[in-house]
Amino acid sequence: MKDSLSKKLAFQLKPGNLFAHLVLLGIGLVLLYPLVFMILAGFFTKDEFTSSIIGLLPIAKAPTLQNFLVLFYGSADAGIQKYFINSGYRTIYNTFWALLTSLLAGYVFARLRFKGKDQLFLVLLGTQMIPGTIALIPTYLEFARFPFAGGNHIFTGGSGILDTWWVYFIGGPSLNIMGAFLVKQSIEKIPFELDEAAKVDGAGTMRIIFQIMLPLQLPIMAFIAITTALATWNDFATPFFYTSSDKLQTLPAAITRLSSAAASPGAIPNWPLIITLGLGMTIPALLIFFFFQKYIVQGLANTGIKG
Amino acid sequence: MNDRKVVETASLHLPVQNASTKSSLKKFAVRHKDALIATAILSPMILWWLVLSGFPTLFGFFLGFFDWIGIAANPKFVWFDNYVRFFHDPLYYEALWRSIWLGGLVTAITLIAGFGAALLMNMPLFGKGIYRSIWYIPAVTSTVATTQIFNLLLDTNNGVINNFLKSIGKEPIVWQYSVFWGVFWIVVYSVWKGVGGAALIWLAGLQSVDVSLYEAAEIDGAGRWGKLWNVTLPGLKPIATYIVITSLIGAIQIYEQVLFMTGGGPYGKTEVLVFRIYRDAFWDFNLGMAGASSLIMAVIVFLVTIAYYRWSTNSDRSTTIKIKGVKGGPKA
Amino acid sequence: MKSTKITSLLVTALLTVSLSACGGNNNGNNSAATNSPQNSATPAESASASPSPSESTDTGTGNPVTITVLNEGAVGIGVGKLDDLFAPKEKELKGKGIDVTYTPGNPVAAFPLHYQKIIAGKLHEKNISVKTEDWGWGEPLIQKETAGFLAKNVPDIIVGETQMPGFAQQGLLEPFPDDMAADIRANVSPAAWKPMEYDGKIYGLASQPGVSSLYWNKKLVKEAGIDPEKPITSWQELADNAKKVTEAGKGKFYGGGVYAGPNFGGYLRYGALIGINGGSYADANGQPTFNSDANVETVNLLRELNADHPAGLMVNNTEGTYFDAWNKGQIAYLIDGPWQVQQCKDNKLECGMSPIPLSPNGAAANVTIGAAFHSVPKDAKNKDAAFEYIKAMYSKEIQQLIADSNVRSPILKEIAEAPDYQQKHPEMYLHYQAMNGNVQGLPTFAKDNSKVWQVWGDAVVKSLMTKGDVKAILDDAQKKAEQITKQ
Repeated sequence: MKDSLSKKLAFQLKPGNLFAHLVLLGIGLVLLYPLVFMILAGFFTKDEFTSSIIGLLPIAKAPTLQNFLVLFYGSADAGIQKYFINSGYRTIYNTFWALLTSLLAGYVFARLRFKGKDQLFLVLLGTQMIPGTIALIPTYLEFARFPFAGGNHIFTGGSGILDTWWVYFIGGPSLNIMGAFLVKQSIEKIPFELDEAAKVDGAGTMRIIFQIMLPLQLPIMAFIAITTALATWNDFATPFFYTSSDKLQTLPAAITRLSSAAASPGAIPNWPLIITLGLGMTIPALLIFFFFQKYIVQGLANTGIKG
Repeated sequence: MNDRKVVETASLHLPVQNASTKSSLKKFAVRHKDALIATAILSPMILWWLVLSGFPTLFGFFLGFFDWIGIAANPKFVWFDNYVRFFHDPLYYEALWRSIWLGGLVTAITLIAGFGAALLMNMPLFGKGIYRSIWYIPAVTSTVATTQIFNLLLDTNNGVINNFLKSIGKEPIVWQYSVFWGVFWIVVYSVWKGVGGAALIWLAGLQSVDVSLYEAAEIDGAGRWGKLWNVTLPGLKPIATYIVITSLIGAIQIYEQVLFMTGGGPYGKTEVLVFRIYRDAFWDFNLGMAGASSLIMAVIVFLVTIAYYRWSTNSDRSTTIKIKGVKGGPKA
Repeated sequence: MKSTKITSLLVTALLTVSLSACGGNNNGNNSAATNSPQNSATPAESASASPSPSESTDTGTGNPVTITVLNEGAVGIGVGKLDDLFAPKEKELKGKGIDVTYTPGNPVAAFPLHYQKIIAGKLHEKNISVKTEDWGWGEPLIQKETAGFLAKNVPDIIVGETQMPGFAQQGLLEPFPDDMAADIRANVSPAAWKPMEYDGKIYGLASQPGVSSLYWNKKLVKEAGIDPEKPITSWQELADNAKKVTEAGKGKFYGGGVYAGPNFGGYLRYGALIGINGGSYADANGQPTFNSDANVETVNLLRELNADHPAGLMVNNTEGTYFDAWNKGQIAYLIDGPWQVQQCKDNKLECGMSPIPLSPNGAAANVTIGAAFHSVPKDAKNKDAAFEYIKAMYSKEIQQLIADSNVRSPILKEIAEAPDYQQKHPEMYLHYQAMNGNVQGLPTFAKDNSKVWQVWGDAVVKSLMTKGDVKAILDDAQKKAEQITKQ
């Protein structure tokens, strides 16, 4: 035991490996630095942060947990927990749909033969290249003119689905194109015989997708899940732009507001609180990542050239 | 490797039946059914997608043909005036050019650095998972929150970095009024955020290269670099397609870091096109120019991507075939 | 392939329909605008002394109305139905050990709470309840307001700062009813409404706007051997003193002066200097007037002051950095709004305050700053009720509360000019006097407003950061700006 341990250690300390350790750790720490800064800054009071000169590693002289308490318990005018929960619901909902749509569409584009398939796929892929800013105002108009919703007589008169849960519901089931692309790549590596055998067995398309393809796609599903979950969790534009009610707010939108309110003239921004909230937004995202991280590499590897 | 194992175990659950005459008939029917099934599966999704992003985007493009300045003003159809202006006004074509080279620069640095890290992470090291996680953490953070941290670090007067420079007796640097530093920090931020993700994807690529190919190369007497050049790099092409395209698309559309870090300054020299679009739409209510710029941006990115996609899928196909041949050999 | 043609046709048709739906039907909702508010007894009412219950029934309409109002940071206590917010807020403040009682005429600790309570109370008399929403401030707020106007989905009262005059000029806001406007002109300080005046009509009001004054850090000034109690009166004196402080500071602290970054934070603050010297940013038609001799002189002063700052601080992109230096006692002079009086106390700085010094041929002038203008959009659903809200903003009770807060000055002449106020709040009275003089807002340029401002901002930065001739730089900016506005 001991012998093999020291052997392992010796192996890790071979020049090449040692070099790798040093580089990965060294740069890794540099990459982590902004986060460390955020954690340290969270212990400051607003007054101390405003009045002191902040160094590379800010250490509060009178550390306080106040900011972290706000993060967990909220305050009268910012129910943080509610925002957390809303963010969580949205994340789960969108992730579910992203998985479903990319699996189905990925299979269709990989396996089924129909006219104009490649062109359609290329067009869908192409839409990923359009700056999202351009759709912001038209989407707003569309939501506001949603027929018969929110007091609309057909198109006008009310506020449509703006500021309702529909803003979130409607966002989920849309096709996840990058996910479909990955699933397509991955399914194309699976031998056709597998489908054939299942078809012989009398399996329909849905059974092939869910009973045969899905188990093989689990790693790639994990990758799609994590990217969608992170994107949804960090998305501040949708909640901020299309909703106003407090009950619909998510954490990033709340943080955007707190920060922008701090920019009004005359107010000294409460940096420690803003930073702590930003940090709090990151922690669940980190948990999502840690939970799925080992699948990411595996999942992406599947889209590669193994076959 | 894993993949294959899973395939095999999965196939075990399928009771093998002999093909009958019925099955060939079925096959024939299925082949014609493909289009129907595809329609049934895709049309709800695409319809949904059209409502949510396709239609609003088209609408945005459509506005590009209007002179519409000001919310209350009536839009006036002006054909291609906005497009003509785009290519005559340095404000726009310079911003486009900046988007392209800045995006290219960010992509190149991110991917090269990520590749180096992936090579190291692919070595048999203790705590690989931890390194992976540490490197990926920046990607998890939100742009709004972390650009603010960068701004605190880069503050001209009491910024952390300038304080540090002062403490070691150097002159503080006015980051905001230097194009070089503006670009530098935008690139640093983008790379900081992107390198971990790139490393992970490269790592996946490295691990998907078939070990038997390395063995074959070793028999042929290839050294470390020979293997990297002849086996690893060609084997990475498909993953490279994915990562280059997605990174490039993302990097050309960078604007939040510009908005939050330099504000386009100094003198608009770090203004990228998406930032310009944003300002046109929300600060000047010039929805016509915003629509036209978006369309031009989309077309250019689309062309670049298609060119790259064509080029790389062609080579992808050839490597796939080659590898299949090698792999299929001993297994068959 | 046929189907694609049909789809594209359909798409085009749909686009046309929706476009006309959002651009064209301006006339649909406007009929309500011509109805003047049914309650014309306003002047008497706003002057009435206390919240007298006897008046509560005379509005008559009877139907309970709920209006939606955007929150403003300085007076916000959360979002939702106002009535539901008081209890939890009170509890929270008590938990923090903050005194939640208030008697008019005495200092107030829980200012936003009482502000909203008074507003809610006054509106209840008219059977109006208030729901607040928070759309942020600055950039995000402008985004949401733009989209909201396009979709005709706006609250009954919107707030904002520099974007509001632009909204008014575009015809998106409802002008105040004539009797109300007359009342405001007669009884309210111009800083509160002058920037929102357009074509002879008033489109918005701020209940506690500010104008800039000169502040100085007494400790730093003393170290430079300058009498910390003696106010500065001329530009020359300001420049000289700033230089002295910088020399005395030896890199530890600097003279300072005014923030001049290329954004509204800068334009608003040195805008006062521009006005004092008789210059301007734009003429009445929204055309730029960048390169006037008066402006060249002002920018030359800014350049002189820039030498008395840490490198780059004066034109830093974010104004927060500049005020951070002031709060940390690194610069001695500052031109800023009235909140500095309170903040100096909070940050334990001993500050002096005086009107902004004048140029040789200049006359006192100022720019409204830190104002949350409240306006009623054309598309608001309850305009009459919304105007009642604005009346409550300049009511005696609210203005008394603002007077007692000692952070801003009241805008109601009756309160501010009472001898009691001058005695109790000498600094804020000084500020009130400045609000009552020649006060302007920032102009909105004829076309592509933000682009033209950017040209100006960049020109000022260039004047400060390079050694080029100021006149030549401003001439160039004028040319560039005209290219945009006269396109």
